[in-house]
Amino acid sequence: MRAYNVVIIGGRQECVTIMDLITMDRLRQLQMRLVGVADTDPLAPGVKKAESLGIFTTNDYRDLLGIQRLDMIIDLTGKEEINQAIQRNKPPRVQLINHAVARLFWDFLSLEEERYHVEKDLKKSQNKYKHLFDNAREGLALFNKQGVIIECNFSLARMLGYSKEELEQKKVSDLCIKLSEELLKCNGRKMDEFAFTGIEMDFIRKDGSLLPVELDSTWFSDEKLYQVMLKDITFKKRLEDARKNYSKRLKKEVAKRTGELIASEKEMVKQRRTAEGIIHGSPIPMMVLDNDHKIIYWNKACEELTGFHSQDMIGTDRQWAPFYPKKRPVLSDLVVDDDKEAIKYLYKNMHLKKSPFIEGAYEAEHFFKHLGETGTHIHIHVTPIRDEKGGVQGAIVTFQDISERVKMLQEIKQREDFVQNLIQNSIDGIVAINERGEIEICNPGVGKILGYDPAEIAGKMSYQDILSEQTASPIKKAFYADEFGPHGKIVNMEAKVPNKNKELIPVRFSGTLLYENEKEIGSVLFIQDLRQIQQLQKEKRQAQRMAAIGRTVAGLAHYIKNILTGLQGASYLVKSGTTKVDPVLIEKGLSMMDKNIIQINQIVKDMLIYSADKSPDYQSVDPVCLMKEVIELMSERAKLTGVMINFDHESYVGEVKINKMAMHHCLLNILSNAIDACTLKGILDGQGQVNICVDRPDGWAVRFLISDNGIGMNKKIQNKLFTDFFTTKGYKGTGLGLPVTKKIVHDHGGELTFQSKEGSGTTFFITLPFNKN
Amino acid sequence: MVNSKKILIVDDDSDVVLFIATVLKDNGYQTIEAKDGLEGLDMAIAHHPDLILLDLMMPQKSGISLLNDLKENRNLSSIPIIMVTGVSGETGIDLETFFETRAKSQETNFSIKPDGYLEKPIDINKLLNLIKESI
Repeated sequence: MRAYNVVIIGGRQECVTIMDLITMDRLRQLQMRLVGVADTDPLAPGVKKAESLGIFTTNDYRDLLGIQRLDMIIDLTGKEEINQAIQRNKPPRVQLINHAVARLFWDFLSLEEERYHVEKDLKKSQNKYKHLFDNAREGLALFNKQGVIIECNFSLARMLGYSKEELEQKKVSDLCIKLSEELLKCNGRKMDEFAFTGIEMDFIRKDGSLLPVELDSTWFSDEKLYQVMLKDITFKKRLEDARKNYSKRLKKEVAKRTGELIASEKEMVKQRRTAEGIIHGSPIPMMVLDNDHKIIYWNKACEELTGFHSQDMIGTDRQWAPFYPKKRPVLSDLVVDDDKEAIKYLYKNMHLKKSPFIEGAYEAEHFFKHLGETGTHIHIHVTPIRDEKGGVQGAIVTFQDISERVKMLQEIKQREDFVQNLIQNSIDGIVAINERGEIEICNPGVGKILGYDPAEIAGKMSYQDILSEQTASPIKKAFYADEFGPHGKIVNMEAKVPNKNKELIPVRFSGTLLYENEKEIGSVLFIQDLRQIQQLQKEKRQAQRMAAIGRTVAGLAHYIKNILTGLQGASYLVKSGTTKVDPVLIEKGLSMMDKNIIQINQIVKDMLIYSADKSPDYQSVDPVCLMKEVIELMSERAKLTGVMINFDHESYVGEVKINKMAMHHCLLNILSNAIDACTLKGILDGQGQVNICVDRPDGWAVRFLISDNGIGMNKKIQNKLFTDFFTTKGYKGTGLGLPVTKKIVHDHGGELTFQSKEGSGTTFFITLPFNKN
Repeated sequence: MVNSKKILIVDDDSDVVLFIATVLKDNGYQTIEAKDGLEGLDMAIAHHPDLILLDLMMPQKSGISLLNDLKENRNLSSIPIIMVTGVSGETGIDLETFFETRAKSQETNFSIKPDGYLEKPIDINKLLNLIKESI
């Protein structure tokens, strides 16, 4: 069959489309051949395309009408006049297809094209499917409603141990009971339901063994065929069984472990709470570090000791902060690090000790000057916390404020040093004796007094050896008697002890028995060398005597000077009177001389009485009579100075034993003073009064009371009243009157007292006791 | 009499007063006498003597007290005063030292001191020389 020749008139887009359809290889069966294209526009797309394909083109359609063997003209101009002109001019058997028909033709061609494509795709898909089917790893089979396998792939054949050919034509019921049951269930009725995925079942192999598979099935309603896909799950199954077994065991194990764990955790929580409670409530300052050097616990006592609050400390590594001004590792840090070298190095001056009780624990003591107001002595105890493998997991630290203890120890040390010093440097001998009478302590003082080297004594000699038997036993007795101090003590017991050279040394013992828990454990004896003391006493007495002599001499010199002045004056008056032949002047001079001689007499008497060391010569005297005698003696002087003397006395006083002469001197002295006091007041001239009374107060033999309204005395004078040679009376006083009076009264065992007010007068009291002799 | 200088003797010991008065009269001086410090002040004001012989220890008003009063009185401060006393260096108190010490340690008015010192027993020549020098 020859090709069907076609021309197209009108070169627009439709022309190109039709040209494509006609010229495409795949529509070759149409047997159409384009032989020309005409358009008035030589640039129309149809013209251009035709030119590129080597097809004849023209701008006059009439040129196409003359092409030989032309079979068909396709007019795409859509213009009626052109169509008619073609109709008129075309050869008669050439078909003319106008624009509308061309459109139908084009549609037909398009459909044809589509069919071609679909067929081609189908073919491709079938191939692809076939390929997939044959080469899939899964076992695949197609079987019909009767369960006869139509087709299967190699994988399935291999899985079941058949050849592909053997397997095709086998029935499903030969291969899998369960699958044939399923097939029976839905056969003829709900074919669609025979579609499942992932069902596990066993297939029977050719050798009779079972193959566990996972099966997917699909019903192809068009082909009326079932397709099944089998996946060998032998391995998976085995794995699963193993896993199941394992998981079962695991579950059991887990359950058991969980039970144990819960129990142990409960126990742990309980223990932790208890530990926390113990730590927190403990009165001992405590801190716990973890192995990361972070503080886990910081108890209340620790807060109190350091002043650092647990909130600020827990979770930090500021354990150094209370103790040092800047960060440094503390003992607990080093224990956590198990750094023994650093511990030794950093803590060598802090009384570092290994704990005797706990392996790896350390103790240290140090004075932390930044802790507390004035620093604090702290005892630190650090214990490592170890896990079961012995690794350090943290540290427990306890602190103890030992400031008080250190202070006490220092004080004890000081006291001991002091006592030791005292013992060693005492001039007194000090000996400590144990309960067996052996000397344990012996100071250099003992050596000095008794002439021994202390080393010869301590621990070598006994009590008796150095004190001699004659002294040792009275001392022993004295401890248990009351003669020298209370029981257990000796106070100032004097004795003579032989020294190393057998010379007797006067000493004074004091001592005390030592007790411990009420049991006698020895004694301490103090030995005082009396040689020195006796010498000192002697010297003191001498010095006192010298001072007294000095005072006496000075007082005497003053008094004698006054007398000398008087005598000198008297002598001058006598001389002057003689020269001038003045008898009056001579008389005055002689009288002055007499007065001074009396004064010399007086002071000599006073001094004799004052210095007399013998006991008074007692005789029975009526004190009222004695007083009267004295008043009588002074009455003349009182009259001259205009002083009134009043005397009053109890009706009966009774005789007393006194030294009459001495007491007479006393009373005269005091009455004389009283008259002087009135005279010295001057303004009271004629009004001066001295009141005298003799009575007998309870418990006393007699009291003389001599009271004046004279000038009185101020405190300064009162304080010096009984001082030797003190006088307010200028030339007249010896300064011995009252000291002599006092001595006499005291010799009688009596008292001399006074009351005085400056400007108002003075009262003296002489009170004498019953004389025991 | 060649010498008509008036000398006040203040002493509570009448014997001493009599002795000194006799000595001075024998040497041509006039004397007036007072038996204590108070009387001494009155006499000094009343008679304005050429020189005063003053005992140290007296009742009523001591020699030192009178000395202070006299030296502080503008009308009397020019009168030379000789202190007479039984207390001296021998007995522990040296009057000269006493006044010097007082002058150094106290205020200006305590720089007051007597114009001469005379110890008992009285050396007649020394007494007469002192008076001669002072007047």
